[in-house]
Amino acid sequence: MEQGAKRLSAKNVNKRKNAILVSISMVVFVLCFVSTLQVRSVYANSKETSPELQRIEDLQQALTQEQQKTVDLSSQLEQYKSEIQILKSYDDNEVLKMLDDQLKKAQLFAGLTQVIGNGVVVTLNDSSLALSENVNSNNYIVHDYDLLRVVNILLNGGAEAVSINGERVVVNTSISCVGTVILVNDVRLGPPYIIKAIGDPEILTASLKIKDGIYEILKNYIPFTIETKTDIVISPYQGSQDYKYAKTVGEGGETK
Amino acid sequence: MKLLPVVAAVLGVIAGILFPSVIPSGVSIYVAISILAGFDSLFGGISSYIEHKFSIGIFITGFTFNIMVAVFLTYIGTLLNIDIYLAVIVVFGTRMIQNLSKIRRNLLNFDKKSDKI
Repeated sequence: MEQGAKRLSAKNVNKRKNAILVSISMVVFVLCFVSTLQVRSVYANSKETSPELQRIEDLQQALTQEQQKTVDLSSQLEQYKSEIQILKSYDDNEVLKMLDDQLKKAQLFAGLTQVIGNGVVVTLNDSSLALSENVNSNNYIVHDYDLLRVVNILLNGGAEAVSINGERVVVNTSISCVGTVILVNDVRLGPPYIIKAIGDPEILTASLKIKDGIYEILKNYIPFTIETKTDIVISPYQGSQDYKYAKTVGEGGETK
Repeated sequence: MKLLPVVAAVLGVIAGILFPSVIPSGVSIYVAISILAGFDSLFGGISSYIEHKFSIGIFITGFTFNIMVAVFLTYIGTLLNIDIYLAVIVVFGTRMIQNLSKIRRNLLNFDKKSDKI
């Protein structure tokens, strides 16, 4: 009886030992597997991310990109060539002339061309009178709003092209004051301010000299001259033409 | 039967070599920490086996829990931008070495269990 129990317990112990060995083996298997894989991975990853190889990869990528660009550009070139061919066949046609005319009109309107014509030259300058007490010195210098008003009056009088000290007044021109100078088209201008305007000289002069108008008021404080001139040359707008936000709405509401 | 762990080790290494893909570098640190935790449990198990105090339940749960805790702490470390995995490495590394020395001492004094130094 005792011996039987002993044998049984011995059997149990054996079984338990086997179970222990199996569990340890399982753990050993998993650990060895993962460790080997990890060593392999670390090696592979270090190979992948070594700076030289990375650089080579980058360069290769850049190369393929550039090659793709070349292909794109050459196909574009082909397209343009065929377009030129088509346009050349239209050479005698009126289409090109019409387009050219439209372009010139648009450029003229946008102030992108040098223009010449009759008009007036308005000169405003800071007063050279010596400062005295009881006088507001602000009244004796040219302000941004003075220029703004003069330009506005000239445009109202039908001026087709206006420039201030060579800065062409265009559709998005701003005239503002920064300290002692005036900013026109983001260019700093100082006195004297020479405003050239092309238009009907008589109307322009009359608009400025209207009773109780700007000329009558300002001439008491600052030098303000209006000259009628022939063949005034006004230079084109030379500022930025970047449009970041506004986009043309094409036909069918599509943006171009 | 006693050679089963050795066979398992060899099989594991072979499986690791033959495995078709590798571990991405992003989870590499977690795997490394897991391996450390796993080895700590393994040596703990072996040492208790030699001391006849082995329990399969404790061994398996210890193995999984150690790994989970290690990975979790490492993850927390990345969230907090602090290298908690260093603490994990120190703790598990120390315990691993202690277990190994226990195993060594037990093996050396296998016959004279009275004086374990």
